[in-house]
Amino acid sequence: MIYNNLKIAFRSLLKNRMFSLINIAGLAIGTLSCLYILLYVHEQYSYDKHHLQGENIYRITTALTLPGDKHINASSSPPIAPALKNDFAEVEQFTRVIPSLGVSQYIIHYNEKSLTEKSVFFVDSTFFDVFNYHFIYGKADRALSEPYSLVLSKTLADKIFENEDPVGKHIELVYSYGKDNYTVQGVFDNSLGKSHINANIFITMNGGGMGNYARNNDSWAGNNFAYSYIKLKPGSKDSELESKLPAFLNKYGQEQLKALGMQKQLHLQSVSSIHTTRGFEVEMDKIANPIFLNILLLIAALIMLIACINFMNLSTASSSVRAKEVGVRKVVGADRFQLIKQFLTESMLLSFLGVMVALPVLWLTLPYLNQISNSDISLTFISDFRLWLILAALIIFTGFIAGIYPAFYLSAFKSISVLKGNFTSHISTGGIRKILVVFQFVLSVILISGIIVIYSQLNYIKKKDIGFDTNQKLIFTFHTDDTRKKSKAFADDLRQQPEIIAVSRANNYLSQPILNDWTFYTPGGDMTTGQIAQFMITDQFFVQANGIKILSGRDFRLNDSGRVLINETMAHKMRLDPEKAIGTNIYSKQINQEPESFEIAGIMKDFNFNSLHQNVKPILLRFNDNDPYLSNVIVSVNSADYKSLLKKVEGIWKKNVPEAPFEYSFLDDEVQKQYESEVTLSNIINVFTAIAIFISCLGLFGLATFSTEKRRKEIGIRKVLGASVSGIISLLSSDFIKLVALAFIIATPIAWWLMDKWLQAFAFRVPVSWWMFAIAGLIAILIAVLSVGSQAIKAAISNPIKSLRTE
Amino acid sequence: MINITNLEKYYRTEEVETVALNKLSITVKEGEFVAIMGPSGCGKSTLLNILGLLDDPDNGSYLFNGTEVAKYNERKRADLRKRNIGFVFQSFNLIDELTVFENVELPLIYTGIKGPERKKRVEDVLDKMQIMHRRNHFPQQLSGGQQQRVAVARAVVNNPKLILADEPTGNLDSSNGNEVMQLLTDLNEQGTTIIMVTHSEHDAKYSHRIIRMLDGQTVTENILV
Repeated sequence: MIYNNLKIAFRSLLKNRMFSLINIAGLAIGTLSCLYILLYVHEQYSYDKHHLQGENIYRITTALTLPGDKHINASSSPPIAPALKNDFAEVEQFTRVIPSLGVSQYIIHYNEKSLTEKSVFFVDSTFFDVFNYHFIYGKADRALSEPYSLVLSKTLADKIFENEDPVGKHIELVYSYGKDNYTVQGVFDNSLGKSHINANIFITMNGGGMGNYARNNDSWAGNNFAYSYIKLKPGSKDSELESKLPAFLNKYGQEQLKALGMQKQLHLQSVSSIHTTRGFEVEMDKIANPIFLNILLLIAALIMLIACINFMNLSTASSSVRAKEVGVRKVVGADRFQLIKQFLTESMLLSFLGVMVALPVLWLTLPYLNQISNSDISLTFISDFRLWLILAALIIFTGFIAGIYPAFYLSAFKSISVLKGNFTSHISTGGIRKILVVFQFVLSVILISGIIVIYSQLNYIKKKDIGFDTNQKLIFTFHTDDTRKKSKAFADDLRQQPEIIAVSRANNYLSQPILNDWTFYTPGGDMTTGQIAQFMITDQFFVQANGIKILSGRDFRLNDSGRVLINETMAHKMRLDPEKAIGTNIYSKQINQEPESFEIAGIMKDFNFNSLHQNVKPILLRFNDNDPYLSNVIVSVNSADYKSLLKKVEGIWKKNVPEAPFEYSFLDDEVQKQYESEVTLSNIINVFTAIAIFISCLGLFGLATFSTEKRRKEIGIRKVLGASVSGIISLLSSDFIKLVALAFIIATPIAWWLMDKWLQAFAFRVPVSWWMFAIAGLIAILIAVLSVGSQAIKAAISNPIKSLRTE
Repeated sequence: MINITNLEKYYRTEEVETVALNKLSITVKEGEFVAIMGPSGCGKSTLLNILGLLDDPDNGSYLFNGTEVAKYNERKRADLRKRNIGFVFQSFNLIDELTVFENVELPLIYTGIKGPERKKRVEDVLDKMQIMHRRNHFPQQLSGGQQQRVAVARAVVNNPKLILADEPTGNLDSSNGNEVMQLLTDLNEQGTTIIMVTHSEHDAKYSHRIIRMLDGQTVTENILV
């Protein structure tokens, strides 16, 4: 029976070629999109799922309440994790991971070789007791116990040692605060299992420098820079341990917290959920927004549904082709169930063919899809049997969804009627078909509106006055102690060039995350009543080089040490009147130190030093042109000829810092990097919207073809009676255009609501306005006219005698 | 074999009710060859559809081999139909996508006959209908007479007790028509009951008995043999 069903399915596909082509194309493109999205989402959810007893590994997170400020941090204070192991029997092991704070890159020296690396983490020697890594060289258990030992990823080890066993070899690391020699103790395969700790080097904390600093740090309140992990003994409950944490923190940190005016709570977060959980500040790596993943899954399902709707509509619209067959089969003994099975076989065959076409196309387009989604999904999934299970499920599910309604519809034909030539099933389809077309176009209009709103917001971000000038600004970063000492001479030389307006040295450039924050208070106050503010350390040219406006007071001058510039928001939060605040002292007191005092030299107009997702926060610039950590040189230029200017600057660089490569970035690019996830979202939505619209159009084209075919005689008669070509075209198109217009009316409020919700993620956003949806509607109608129009024109200009003769 | 009493069938549209069969009673014995004649719209096709369990009557009784089947549901009717009744139509009604062999095989598939047995029975019947050499052709590649022979082959492949033929020669020229009528006669002689609707007096003469209908009722019965 199945063989017979398949045979007739194949033959009817071959017979109705256009119908088959539209369906297979739609299903193939749908499958391709769906499969890629599933792989992408699956990959995002697979982070940190490979650790042994991974369900027992937790990260300690910190909720902080400071005067006028609240934070939920992914990190915690350094002494917490070891104390947890010490105090609680259920904690089997702990480890801390400390990213290289303030170090933008390391330079690795091995023999003659020299290369740079950014993903470097200091970890406790217990790291590999908590997390599982597959070691290619060396052994995990004692890899990090000796001081100055480190473990490399295979990717990096291959670059340095070219497939040799590097265990026992020494490399030198040069970084912001100095340089050290390390012994390689192991190499792990980083292609096996993704982790939110995306490292190429793990350095043991049993050593000097950062390791020493973290190990001996006894700050229980501040210094929340360590990522702390614990592994619980099997059978222990995280909720039970979590309930004991307030008392634990109180025992060790009460006094320090009080001194800083801080309240703090500790929580446990399952490690496998880290990559897909939003809401934590200072994450180590980019996380995948689960809302975004859900939007993607929804889009995948919708694209597949649109392709299925094409099948439903084309099957029922062309039912007269199959009606006689149904009648005959019933007469010779088929019951309805057998016919339903037969039609389902056909839809399954189509969805199977769709998958077969989709797979090679996916293989070809994978690099492009990876580029737009900013990911690195590889073809290794082909060897994963789960993929084939997913494919089988996709074929069956799609075949069923697409086929079940036509199967019921077609099998309901009454044999005696169809054999007499009456091709109407007792189920009416015109209405359902219209509803399905409207549904397809509702989705299309929503997706087009999405594109327009996202594009408008990204454009708004690009164009918005963010309070400082990002145009024609170059940034140079000095990564090591040695080179940083030469940054002043480099800056002085640059100032001699006529195209260069201003050059400033600072510990941060704007748009870079600012890690420093202190609580400041006005005379008569203390740390508990103060205001937390982020701060930067700069020379006297920072305001000028960045085009920041001074509201009152003055800019920095040489020898302004002890003076600060604060922004409007900070003045406002500290209840300082911008006009009268100039000359006022503000204070901050760190643990075990005397209060420090700062004189306000000027108030800056607010500028968006964070992304536009956030409102402007308090910020303070501290003058110190002798600070040893002014790693960045910001250069404001005015030149129409960047090429020759950069050449000149390169010469100055080579003269001053010959040992470091000449590297620079543009401030406007850096600012735009803050919106990478929005740009990715926009790219993905653009592509999949285009796909969804294309499939909808295929369907509409198919329907128009059938309906025109069906009305050939009517068109012939109308033409004989004097109808004009344009009259016929509008007659044939108007039915479809009406449906698309209705879809527009239904889609607009839904799209409006969705887009408004999406925009809520931005503190600064473009207003949602009617024209965005009007354009979406117009585009949808235009697309519909193009899909239907060709068929209508063909019918309208055909010779009526021909169509009448065939009747 | 067939015993219908006071059979009624109406066709309703929104405003008009048309009587297709009006308290019709007929009996057909096993092994009979009966022709039904009458003008267009007299109800003969409706009668054939009810006899073939393709349609159900509104009132009256239909005994098939002594079993009341008038109130059978769709599934039971399909089951009874595929085991006992073969159909031959004026327009052949072969499935264009299937070959000659596959068209004839179809009823056997729906009765659940296994593959090797199916092959044997289809080949036997194609042989008998002298159409074996065309077994792999599609219907469009055949002449009308050949197509009707395939249709007859399909009707008899299941060895039905009853064959219902609806103007089987209507679309054929006289020589092809005669061939088909000879086929039906041969089948009848081998024991199959045949009921045939026809406009042709010539074809009707092949039967044992002619039932003439008008306005949903029988008007005369002529016994020819």
